[in-house]
Amino acid sequence: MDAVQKPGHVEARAALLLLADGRLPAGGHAHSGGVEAAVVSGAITGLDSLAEFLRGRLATAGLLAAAFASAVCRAVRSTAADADPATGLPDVLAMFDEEVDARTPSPAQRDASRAQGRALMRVARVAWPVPPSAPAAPHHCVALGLVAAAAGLEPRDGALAAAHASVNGPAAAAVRLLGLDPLAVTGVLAEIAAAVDRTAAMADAAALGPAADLPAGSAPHLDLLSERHRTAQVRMFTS
Amino acid sequence: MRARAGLRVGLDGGGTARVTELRSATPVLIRRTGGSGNVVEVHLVGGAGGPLAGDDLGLDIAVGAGAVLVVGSVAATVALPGRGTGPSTFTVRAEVGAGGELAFLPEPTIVARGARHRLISRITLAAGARLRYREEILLGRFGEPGGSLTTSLHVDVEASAGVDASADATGAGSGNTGAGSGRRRALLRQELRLGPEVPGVHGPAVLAGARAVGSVLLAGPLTGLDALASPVGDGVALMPLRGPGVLVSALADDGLTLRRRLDALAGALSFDH
Repeated sequence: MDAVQKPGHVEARAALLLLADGRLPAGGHAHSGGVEAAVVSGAITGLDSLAEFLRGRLATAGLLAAAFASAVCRAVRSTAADADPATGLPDVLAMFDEEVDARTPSPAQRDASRAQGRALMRVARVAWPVPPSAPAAPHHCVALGLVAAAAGLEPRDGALAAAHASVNGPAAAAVRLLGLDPLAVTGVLAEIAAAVDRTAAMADAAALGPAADLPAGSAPHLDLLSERHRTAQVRMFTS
Repeated sequence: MRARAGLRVGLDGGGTARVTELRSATPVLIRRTGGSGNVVEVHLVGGAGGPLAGDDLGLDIAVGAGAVLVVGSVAATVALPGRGTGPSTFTVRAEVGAGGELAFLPEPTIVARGARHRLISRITLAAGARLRYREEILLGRFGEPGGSLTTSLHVDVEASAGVDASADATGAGSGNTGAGSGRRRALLRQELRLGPEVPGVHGPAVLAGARAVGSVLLAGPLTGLDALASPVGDGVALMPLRGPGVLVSALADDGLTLRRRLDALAGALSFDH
Protein backbone atom coordinates (compact mmCIF):
# COMPACT_ATOMS: atom_id res chain seq x y z
CA MET A 1 0.00 0.00 0.00
CA ASP A 2 2.70 2.47 0.96
CA ALA A 3 4.36 2.79 -2.41
CA VAL A 4 7.35 5.05 -2.77
CA GLN A 5 5.96 8.54 -2.56
CA LYS A 6 6.86 11.16 -5.09
CA PRO A 7 8.42 14.34 -3.78
CA GLY A 8 5.65 16.74 -2.93
CA HIS A 9 3.12 13.90 -2.54
CA VAL A 10 0.62 14.71 0.17
CA GLU A 11 -1.25 11.82 1.72
CA ALA A 12 -5.04 12.06 1.42
CA ARG A 13 -6.38 13.18 4.81
CA ALA A 14 -9.15 15.69 4.19
CA ALA A 15 -11.23 13.07 2.36
CA LEU A 16 -11.25 11.00 5.55
CA LEU A 17 -12.65 13.92 7.53
CA LEU A 18 -15.31 14.39 4.87
CA LEU A 19 -16.21 10.70 4.89
CA ALA A 20 -16.48 10.63 8.68
CA ASP A 21 -18.41 13.87 8.98
CA GLY A 22 -21.89 13.43 10.42
CA ARG A 23 -23.09 16.11 7.99
CA LEU A 24 -22.24 13.96 4.97
CA PRO A 25 -25.65 13.62 3.27
CA ALA A 26 -25.66 9.83 3.50
CA GLY A 27 -28.73 9.29 5.64
CA GLY A 28 -26.90 8.52 8.87
CA HIS A 29 -29.17 10.84 10.84
CA ALA A 30 -32.11 8.46 10.27
CA HIS A 31 -30.44 5.62 12.18
CA SER A 32 -29.73 5.33 15.89
CA GLY A 33 -27.83 2.02 15.79
CA GLY A 34 -30.13 0.49 18.40
CA VAL A 35 -30.07 3.47 20.76
CA GLU A 36 -33.74 4.35 20.32
CA ALA A 37 -34.90 0.83 21.21
CA ALA A 38 -32.47 0.77 24.14
CA VAL A 39 -33.86 4.07 25.41
CA VAL A 40 -37.46 2.91 24.99
CA SER A 41 -36.72 -0.33 26.88
CA GLY A 42 -34.99 1.56 29.69
CA ALA A 43 -31.57 0.02 28.98
CA ILE A 44 -30.02 3.43 28.26
CA THR A 45 -31.03 6.12 30.73
CA GLY A 46 -28.12 8.55 30.80
CA LEU A 47 -24.46 9.15 30.12
CA ASP A 48 -23.11 6.12 32.00
CA SER A 49 -25.32 3.54 30.34
CA LEU A 50 -24.79 5.26 26.98
CA ALA A 51 -21.02 4.95 27.41
CA GLU A 52 -21.34 1.23 28.23
CA PHE A 53 -23.60 0.75 25.23
CA LEU A 54 -21.10 2.49 22.94
CA ARG A 55 -18.15 0.46 24.30
CA GLY A 56 -20.04 -2.79 23.68
CA ARG A 57 -21.18 -1.66 20.24
CA LEU A 58 -17.66 -0.64 19.27
CA ALA A 59 -16.15 -3.96 20.37
CA THR A 60 -18.70 -5.98 18.36
CA ALA A 61 -20.42 -4.24 15.43
CA GLY A 62 -17.68 -1.59 15.28
CA LEU A 63 -14.81 -4.06 15.00
CA LEU A 64 -16.72 -6.06 12.40
CA ALA A 65 -17.54 -3.02 10.26
CA ALA A 66 -14.01 -1.66 10.54
CA ALA A 67 -12.46 -4.95 9.45
CA PHE A 68 -14.72 -5.19 6.41
CA ALA A 69 -14.17 -1.55 5.46
CA SER A 70 -10.42 -2.13 5.55
CA ALA A 71 -10.59 -5.44 3.67
CA VAL A 72 -12.86 -4.01 0.97
CA CYS A 73 -10.68 -0.91 0.57
CA ARG A 74 -7.60 -3.10 0.13
CA ALA A 75 -9.39 -5.39 -2.33
CA VAL A 76 -10.65 -2.48 -4.42
CA ARG A 77 -7.22 -0.86 -4.50
CA SER A 78 -5.51 -4.07 -5.59
CA THR A 79 -8.20 -4.76 -8.19
CA ALA A 80 -7.74 -1.26 -9.55
CA ALA A 81 -3.99 -1.84 -9.75
CA ASP A 82 -4.45 -4.98 -11.85
CA ALA A 83 -3.65 -4.73 -15.53
CA ASP A 84 -7.14 -5.88 -16.43
CA PRO A 85 -9.57 -3.52 -14.69
CA ALA A 86 -12.48 -5.91 -15.19
CA THR A 87 -10.96 -8.50 -12.85
CA GLY A 88 -13.97 -9.53 -10.88
CA LEU A 89 -14.59 -6.51 -8.69
CA PRO A 90 -18.36 -7.21 -8.56
CA ASP A 91 -17.63 -10.81 -7.54
CA VAL A 92 -15.25 -9.73 -4.81
CA LEU A 93 -17.73 -7.19 -3.44
CA ALA A 94 -20.60 -9.71 -3.59
CA MET A 95 -18.47 -12.13 -1.58
CA PHE A 96 -17.79 -9.48 1.11
CA ASP A 97 -21.49 -8.58 1.19
CA GLU A 98 -22.38 -12.24 1.66
CA GLU A 99 -19.91 -12.49 4.55
CA VAL A 100 -21.49 -9.44 6.21
CA ASP A 101 -24.97 -10.94 5.69
CA ALA A 102 -23.79 -14.08 7.50
CA ARG A 103 -22.56 -11.93 10.41
CA THR A 104 -25.83 -10.02 10.68
CA PRO A 105 -28.58 -12.42 11.76
CA SER A 106 -30.98 -9.55 12.51
CA PRO A 107 -33.00 -8.68 9.38
CA ALA A 108 -33.60 -5.20 10.81
CA GLN A 109 -29.85 -4.61 11.03
CA ARG A 110 -29.28 -6.01 7.54
CA ASP A 111 -31.90 -3.63 6.15
CA ALA A 112 -30.47 -0.65 8.05
CA SER A 113 -26.97 -1.46 6.87
CA ARG A 114 -28.06 -1.81 3.22
CA ALA A 115 -30.06 1.43 3.41
CA GLN A 116 -27.06 3.32 4.74
CA GLY A 117 -24.81 1.66 2.18
CA ARG A 118 -27.16 2.75 -0.60
CA ALA A 119 -27.28 6.33 0.70
CA LEU A 120 -23.47 6.48 0.98
CA MET A 121 -23.03 5.12 -2.54
CA ARG A 122 -25.40 7.78 -3.87
CA VAL A 123 -23.23 10.55 -2.42
CA ALA A 124 -20.01 8.82 -3.38
CA ARG A 125 -20.92 8.44 -7.05
CA VAL A 126 -21.18 12.21 -7.25
CA ALA A 127 -18.21 13.01 -5.07
CA TRP A 128 -15.54 10.42 -5.90
CA PRO A 129 -14.48 8.22 -8.85
CA VAL A 130 -16.38 5.13 -7.70
CA PRO A 131 -16.02 2.17 -10.10
CA PRO A 132 -19.13 2.00 -12.33
CA SER A 133 -19.51 -1.71 -11.56
CA ALA A 134 -19.93 -1.04 -7.81
CA PRO A 135 -23.23 -2.33 -6.39
CA ALA A 136 -26.11 0.07 -5.67
CA ALA A 137 -26.82 -1.06 -2.11
CA PRO A 138 -23.94 -2.88 -0.47
CA HIS A 139 -23.67 -3.17 3.29
CA HIS A 140 -22.61 0.10 4.88
CA CYS A 141 -19.15 -1.16 5.86
CA VAL A 142 -18.58 -2.52 2.34
CA ALA A 143 -19.62 0.88 0.93
CA LEU A 144 -17.23 2.62 3.33
CA GLY A 145 -14.34 0.49 2.11
CA LEU A 146 -15.26 1.12 -1.51
CA VAL A 147 -15.60 4.85 -1.03
CA ALA A 148 -12.40 5.07 0.99
CA ALA A 149 -10.54 3.47 -1.92
CA ALA A 150 -12.23 5.77 -4.45
CA ALA A 151 -11.29 8.80 -2.34
CA GLY A 152 -7.63 7.77 -2.35
CA LEU A 153 -7.61 6.68 1.29
CA GLU A 154 -5.80 3.75 2.87
CA PRO A 155 -7.48 0.60 4.24
CA ARG A 156 -6.75 1.76 7.78
CA ASP A 157 -8.66 4.97 7.01
CA GLY A 158 -11.69 2.93 6.00
CA ALA A 159 -11.37 1.03 9.27
CA LEU A 160 -11.18 4.24 11.28
CA ALA A 161 -14.20 5.75 9.50
CA ALA A 162 -16.23 2.59 10.21
CA ALA A 163 -15.18 2.35 13.87
CA HIS A 164 -15.95 6.05 14.32
CA ALA A 165 -19.36 5.70 12.65
CA SER A 166 -20.25 2.76 14.92
CA VAL A 167 -20.32 5.06 17.96
CA ASN A 168 -20.71 8.58 16.61
CA GLY A 169 -24.14 8.22 15.00
CA PRO A 170 -25.62 6.37 17.97
CA ALA A 171 -24.23 9.01 20.37
CA ALA A 172 -25.82 11.80 18.33
CA ALA A 173 -29.13 9.91 18.39
CA ALA A 174 -28.90 9.62 22.18
CA VAL A 175 -28.59 13.39 22.48
CA ARG A 176 -31.89 13.80 20.64
CA LEU A 177 -33.71 10.90 22.30
CA LEU A 178 -32.77 11.61 25.90
CA GLY A 179 -32.16 15.34 25.68
CA LEU A 180 -28.62 14.78 26.91
CA ASP A 181 -26.16 17.64 27.14
CA PRO A 182 -24.28 17.55 23.79
CA LEU A 183 -21.13 18.78 25.52
CA ALA A 184 -21.23 15.89 27.98
CA VAL A 185 -21.87 13.36 25.19
CA THR A 186 -18.88 14.74 23.30
CA GLY A 187 -16.94 14.13 26.49
CA VAL A 188 -18.05 10.49 26.42
CA LEU A 189 -16.96 10.17 22.79
CA ALA A 190 -13.61 11.74 23.59
CA GLU A 191 -13.18 9.18 26.39
CA ILE A 192 -13.90 6.37 23.93
CA ALA A 193 -11.73 7.85 21.17
CA ALA A 194 -8.65 5.85 22.14
CA ALA A 195 -10.72 2.65 21.99
CA VAL A 196 -11.93 3.69 18.52
CA ASP A 197 -8.30 4.01 17.41
CA ARG A 198 -7.40 0.62 18.92
CA THR A 199 -10.44 -1.04 17.35
CA ALA A 200 -9.56 0.38 13.93
CA ALA A 201 -5.97 -0.85 14.27
CA MET A 202 -7.11 -4.34 15.36
CA ALA A 203 -9.62 -4.44 12.51
CA ASP A 204 -7.05 -3.35 9.97
CA ALA A 205 -4.72 -6.14 11.08
CA ALA A 206 -7.53 -8.73 11.12
CA ALA A 207 -8.59 -7.64 7.63
CA LEU A 208 -5.45 -9.17 6.12
CA GLY A 209 -6.82 -12.68 6.72
CA PRO A 210 -9.32 -14.62 4.60
CA ALA A 211 -12.80 -13.07 4.46
CA ALA A 212 -14.34 -16.08 6.21
CA ASP A 213 -12.15 -15.41 9.26
CA LEU A 214 -12.82 -11.68 9.60
CA PRO A 215 -14.25 -10.59 12.97
CA ALA A 216 -17.86 -11.65 13.57
CA GLY A 217 -18.58 -10.39 17.07
CA SER A 218 -22.23 -10.45 18.03
CA ALA A 219 -24.05 -8.23 20.51
CA PRO A 220 -27.08 -10.30 21.56
CA HIS A 221 -29.01 -7.51 23.25
CA LEU A 222 -28.47 -5.23 20.26
CA ASP A 223 -30.00 -7.94 18.07
CA LEU A 224 -33.06 -8.21 20.34
CA LEU A 225 -33.43 -4.43 20.45
CA SER A 226 -33.19 -4.14 16.65
CA GLU A 227 -35.88 -6.75 16.09
CA ARG A 228 -38.19 -5.18 18.66
CA HIS A 229 -37.65 -1.72 17.19
CA ARG A 230 -38.68 -2.95 13.75
CA THR A 231 -42.16 -3.68 15.08
CA ALA A 232 -42.46 -0.56 17.25
CA GLN A 233 -45.47 1.57 16.36
CA VAL A 234 -43.91 4.91 17.21
CA ARG A 235 -40.30 5.60 16.36
CA MET A 236 -38.11 8.57 15.59
CA PHE A 237 -35.30 6.59 13.90
CA THR A 238 -35.51 3.91 11.21
CA SER A 239 -33.16 1.68 13.20
CA MET B 1 -4.88 -32.78 27.52
CA ARG B 2 -5.57 -33.26 23.82
CA ALA B 3 -8.36 -35.45 22.51
CA ARG B 4 -10.42 -35.68 19.36
CA ALA B 5 -13.44 -37.96 19.15
CA GLY B 6 -15.13 -39.02 15.91
CA LEU B 7 -18.61 -40.01 14.92
CA ARG B 8 -19.81 -41.07 11.48
CA VAL B 9 -23.37 -42.03 10.57
CA GLY B 10 -24.80 -43.09 7.23
CA LEU B 11 -27.71 -44.95 5.68
CA ASP B 12 -27.31 -48.57 4.63
CA GLY B 13 -28.85 -50.00 1.45
CA GLY B 14 -32.20 -50.46 3.20
CA GLY B 15 -32.41 -46.85 4.41
CA THR B 16 -31.50 -47.63 8.02
CA ALA B 17 -29.00 -45.39 9.79
CA ARG B 18 -25.75 -47.12 10.74
CA VAL B 19 -22.96 -45.82 12.92
CA THR B 20 -19.88 -46.48 10.83
CA GLU B 21 -17.48 -44.86 13.24
CA LEU B 22 -17.81 -44.16 16.95
CA ARG B 23 -14.48 -43.15 18.38
CA SER B 24 -14.47 -41.82 21.94
CA ALA B 25 -11.36 -40.01 23.10
CA THR B 26 -11.15 -39.44 26.84
CA PRO B 27 -12.56 -37.15 28.12
CA VAL B 28 -14.93 -36.87 25.13
CA LEU B 29 -16.96 -40.06 25.44
CA ILE B 30 -19.82 -40.88 23.06
CA ARG B 31 -22.66 -43.25 24.01
CA ARG B 32 -25.33 -44.44 21.61
CA THR B 33 -28.61 -43.82 23.42
CA GLY B 34 -31.32 -44.45 20.86
CA GLY B 35 -32.74 -43.98 17.41
CA SER B 36 -34.45 -46.13 14.86
CA GLY B 37 -35.03 -46.07 11.13
CA ASN B 38 -32.89 -43.31 9.66
CA VAL B 39 -32.24 -41.73 13.09
CA VAL B 40 -29.29 -42.27 15.42
CA GLU B 41 -29.16 -40.64 18.85
CA VAL B 42 -26.02 -40.30 20.94
CA HIS B 43 -25.04 -38.51 24.12
CA LEU B 44 -21.73 -37.00 25.07
CA VAL B 45 -20.53 -38.06 28.49
CA GLY B 46 -17.90 -35.94 30.24
CA GLY B 47 -15.21 -38.47 31.17
CA ALA B 48 -13.17 -36.12 33.33
CA GLY B 49 -13.61 -32.84 35.19
CA GLY B 50 -13.29 -29.70 33.18
CA PRO B 51 -12.25 -28.83 30.49
CA LEU B 52 -9.31 -27.22 32.25
CA ALA B 53 -6.99 -24.52 30.97
CA GLY B 54 -4.86 -25.79 28.10
CA ASP B 55 -7.16 -28.68 27.17
CA ASP B 56 -7.70 -29.05 23.44
CA LEU B 57 -10.76 -31.23 22.91
CA GLY B 58 -12.84 -31.88 19.87
CA LEU B 59 -15.43 -33.90 18.06
CA ASP B 60 -15.57 -34.63 14.32
CA ILE B 61 -19.01 -35.51 12.96
CA ALA B 62 -20.09 -36.77 9.55
CA VAL B 63 -23.75 -37.35 8.73
CA GLY B 64 -24.35 -39.13 5.45
CA ALA B 65 -27.04 -38.34 2.92
CA GLY B 66 -30.52 -38.92 4.30
CA ALA B 67 -29.40 -39.88 7.82
CA VAL B 68 -30.43 -38.04 10.99
CA LEU B 69 -28.05 -37.71 13.93
CA VAL B 70 -29.14 -36.31 17.28
CA VAL B 71 -26.33 -35.37 19.66
CA GLY B 72 -27.12 -34.52 23.27
CA SER B 73 -25.04 -34.43 26.41
CA VAL B 74 -25.83 -35.95 29.78
CA ALA B 75 -24.86 -32.89 31.79
CA ALA B 76 -23.72 -29.30 31.54
CA THR B 77 -20.06 -28.72 30.71
CA VAL B 78 -18.23 -26.71 33.35
CA ALA B 79 -15.18 -24.91 32.01
CA LEU B 80 -12.71 -24.48 34.87
CA PRO B 81 -9.48 -22.60 35.38
CA GLY B 82 -6.36 -24.71 35.66
CA ARG B 83 -2.60 -24.69 35.61
CA GLY B 84 -2.29 -25.27 31.88
CA THR B 85 -1.22 -22.47 29.63
CA GLY B 86 -3.70 -20.82 27.33
CA PRO B 87 -7.43 -21.31 27.20
CA SER B 88 -9.26 -24.61 27.01
CA THR B 89 -10.84 -25.32 23.63
CA PHE B 90 -13.67 -27.51 22.41
CA THR B 91 -13.92 -27.77 18.63
CA VAL B 92 -16.78 -29.34 16.71
CA ARG B 93 -16.37 -30.03 13.01
CA ALA B 94 -19.36 -31.43 11.18
CA GLU B 95 -20.39 -32.22 7.63
CA VAL B 96 -23.95 -33.10 6.76
CA GLY B 97 -24.81 -34.74 3.44
CA ALA B 98 -27.73 -34.03 1.13
CA GLY B 99 -31.06 -34.63 2.84
CA GLY B 100 -29.27 -35.43 6.08
CA GLU B 101 -29.88 -33.75 9.42
CA LEU B 102 -27.74 -32.96 12.43
CA ALA B 103 -29.39 -31.95 15.70
CA PHE B 104 -26.61 -30.77 17.99
CA LEU B 105 -28.33 -30.06 21.29
CA PRO B 106 -25.89 -30.27 24.19
CA GLU B 107 -26.58 -29.04 27.70
CA PRO B 108 -25.21 -25.58 28.61
CA THR B 109 -21.58 -24.62 28.98
CA ILE B 110 -20.95 -23.05 32.38
CA VAL B 111 -17.93 -20.76 32.50
CA ALA B 112 -16.57 -20.84 36.04
CA ARG B 113 -14.80 -17.90 37.59
CA GLY B 114 -11.26 -17.59 36.25
CA ALA B 115 -11.80 -20.05 33.40
CA ARG B 116 -10.74 -19.19 29.85
CA HIS B 117 -12.61 -21.32 27.36
CA ARG B 118 -13.18 -21.38 23.59
CA LEU B 119 -16.05 -23.08 21.83
CA ILE B 120 -15.45 -23.43 18.09
CA SER B 121 -17.84 -24.98 15.57
CA ARG B 122 -17.31 -25.37 11.83
CA ILE B 123 -20.25 -26.95 10.07
CA THR B 124 -20.81 -27.55 6.36
CA LEU B 125 -24.20 -28.50 5.01
CA ALA B 126 -24.72 -30.04 1.60
CA ALA B 127 -27.58 -28.65 -0.45
CA GLY B 128 -30.82 -29.78 1.20
CA ALA B 129 -29.15 -30.75 4.50
CA ARG B 130 -30.63 -29.58 7.80
CA LEU B 131 -29.10 -28.40 11.05
CA ARG B 132 -30.52 -27.68 14.48
CA TYR B 133 -27.73 -26.28 16.65
CA ARG B 134 -28.12 -25.06 20.22
CA GLU B 135 -25.58 -23.08 22.20
CA GLU B 136 -26.26 -22.03 25.80
CA ILE B 137 -23.74 -20.19 27.96
CA LEU B 138 -24.04 -19.57 31.70
CA LEU B 139 -21.61 -17.13 33.23
CA GLY B 140 -20.38 -18.50 36.55
CA ARG B 141 -21.65 -21.20 38.85
CA PHE B 142 -24.15 -20.12 41.55
CA GLY B 143 -23.43 -16.58 42.63
CA GLU B 144 -19.91 -16.30 41.21
CA PRO B 145 -18.88 -14.00 38.38
CA GLY B 146 -18.16 -15.80 35.14
CA GLY B 147 -14.82 -16.43 33.50
CA SER B 148 -13.89 -15.67 29.91
CA LEU B 149 -15.38 -17.37 26.90
CA THR B 150 -15.08 -17.02 23.16
CA THR B 151 -17.50 -18.84 20.91
CA SER B 152 -17.18 -19.01 17.14
CA LEU B 153 -19.79 -20.63 14.95
CA HIS B 154 -19.37 -20.88 11.18
CA VAL B 155 -22.03 -22.57 9.09
CA ASP B 156 -21.61 -22.90 5.33
CA VAL B 157 -24.17 -24.22 2.90
CA GLU B 158 -23.18 -25.80 -0.37
CA ALA B 159 -25.20 -24.58 -3.29
CA SER B 160 -26.03 -27.36 -5.68
CA ALA B 161 -24.92 -26.60 -9.22
CA GLY B 162 -27.45 -24.53 -11.12
CA VAL B 163 -29.86 -24.09 -8.23
CA ASP B 164 -28.23 -21.10 -6.61
CA ALA B 165 -29.12 -18.39 -9.06
CA SER B 166 -30.41 -15.71 -6.70
CA ALA B 167 -29.37 -12.13 -7.40
CA ASP B 168 -26.80 -12.03 -4.63
CA ALA B 169 -25.18 -15.30 -5.55
CA THR B 170 -23.19 -14.07 -8.49
CA GLY B 171 -19.86 -14.00 -6.72
CA ALA B 172 -18.21 -17.32 -7.35
CA GLY B 173 -14.61 -16.27 -7.04
CA SER B 174 -14.14 -16.32 -3.28
CA GLY B 175 -11.83 -19.31 -3.28
CA ASN B 176 -14.32 -20.63 -0.80
CA THR B 177 -15.39 -23.84 -2.45
CA GLY B 178 -14.68 -27.06 -0.66
CA ALA B 179 -14.95 -30.75 -1.26
CA GLY B 180 -18.59 -30.69 -2.29
CA SER B 181 -20.05 -30.32 -5.74
CA GLY B 182 -21.23 -26.72 -5.50
CA ARG B 183 -19.98 -23.44 -4.19
CA ARG B 184 -20.21 -22.83 -0.47
CA ARG B 185 -22.17 -19.88 0.85
CA ALA B 186 -21.66 -18.48 4.31
CA LEU B 187 -24.93 -18.90 6.19
CA LEU B 188 -23.86 -17.78 9.66
CA ARG B 189 -20.66 -16.49 11.22
CA GLN B 190 -21.14 -15.62 14.85
CA GLU B 191 -18.67 -14.94 17.60
CA LEU B 192 -19.43 -14.11 21.20
CA ARG B 193 -16.74 -12.72 23.46
CA LEU B 194 -17.58 -12.74 27.15
CA GLY B 195 -15.53 -12.05 30.23
CA PRO B 196 -14.45 -9.36 32.65
CA GLU B 197 -11.89 -8.04 30.15
CA VAL B 198 -14.39 -7.49 27.31
CA PRO B 199 -15.43 -3.82 26.90
CA GLY B 200 -19.11 -3.10 27.58
CA VAL B 201 -19.96 -6.79 27.88
CA HIS B 202 -22.49 -6.35 30.68
CA GLY B 203 -23.84 -3.13 29.20
CA PRO B 204 -26.99 -2.50 27.15
CA ALA B 205 -25.49 -3.53 23.78
CA VAL B 206 -24.23 -6.99 24.67
CA LEU B 207 -25.65 -8.83 27.70
CA ALA B 208 -27.69 -6.07 29.38
CA GLY B 209 -26.98 -7.64 32.76
CA ALA B 210 -27.98 -11.17 31.73
CA ARG B 211 -26.02 -14.16 33.09
CA ALA B 212 -27.30 -16.61 30.51
CA VAL B 213 -27.05 -16.18 26.76
CA GLY B 214 -27.86 -18.60 24.01
CA SER B 215 -29.15 -19.30 20.55
CA VAL B 216 -30.69 -22.00 18.43
CA LEU B 217 -29.87 -22.10 14.75
CA LEU B 218 -32.25 -23.88 12.41
CA ALA B 219 -30.71 -24.18 8.98
CA GLY B 220 -32.79 -25.57 6.15
CA PRO B 221 -36.32 -25.20 4.82
CA LEU B 222 -38.72 -24.58 7.73
CA THR B 223 -42.41 -24.77 8.48
CA GLY B 224 -44.24 -23.14 11.36
CA LEU B 225 -42.95 -19.60 10.80
CA ASP B 226 -46.36 -18.30 9.77
CA ALA B 227 -48.03 -19.74 12.84
CA LEU B 228 -45.80 -17.81 15.25
CA ALA B 229 -47.75 -15.04 16.98
CA SER B 230 -44.67 -12.81 17.14
CA PRO B 231 -41.01 -13.24 16.24
CA VAL B 232 -40.07 -11.22 19.31
CA GLY B 233 -40.74 -12.16 22.93
CA ASP B 234 -39.47 -11.21 26.36
CA GLY B 235 -35.68 -11.56 26.06
CA VAL B 236 -35.85 -13.56 22.84
CA ALA B 237 -36.09 -12.92 19.09
CA LEU B 238 -36.40 -15.09 16.02
CA MET B 239 -34.31 -13.76 13.15
CA PRO B 240 -34.69 -15.05 9.59
CA LEU B 241 -31.21 -15.27 8.07
CA ARG B 242 -30.29 -14.08 4.61
CA GLY B 243 -29.82 -17.72 3.63
CA PRO B 244 -32.11 -20.67 4.37
CA GLY B 245 -32.68 -20.71 8.12
CA VAL B 246 -33.42 -18.75 11.27
CA LEU B 247 -31.51 -17.89 14.41
CA VAL B 248 -33.37 -17.71 17.69
CA SER B 249 -31.36 -15.69 20.17
CA ALA B 250 -32.12 -15.17 23.86
CA LEU B 251 -30.85 -13.63 27.08
CA ALA B 252 -31.94 -14.51 30.62
CA ASP B 253 -30.87 -14.40 34.24
CA ASP B 254 -30.64 -18.19 34.58
CA GLY B 255 -30.34 -21.32 32.47
CA LEU B 256 -33.92 -22.54 32.90
CA THR B 257 -35.40 -19.25 31.74
CA LEU B 258 -32.96 -19.19 28.84
CA ARG B 259 -34.05 -22.66 27.69
CA ARG B 260 -37.73 -21.73 28.06
CA ARG B 261 -37.24 -18.59 25.96
CA LEU B 262 -35.36 -20.44 23.21
CA ASP B 263 -37.93 -23.25 23.15
CA ALA B 264 -40.82 -20.79 23.00
CA LEU B 265 -39.77 -19.75 19.49
CA ALA B 266 -37.47 -22.49 18.18
CA GLY B 267 -39.73 -25.27 19.49
CA ALA B 268 -42.58 -24.14 17.28
CA LEU B 269 -40.59 -24.73 14.11
CA SER B 270 -39.91 -27.92 12.22
CA PHE B 271 -38.12 -28.77 9.02
CA ASP B 272 -40.02 -28.98 5.80
CA HIS B 273 -39.16 -32.47 4.59
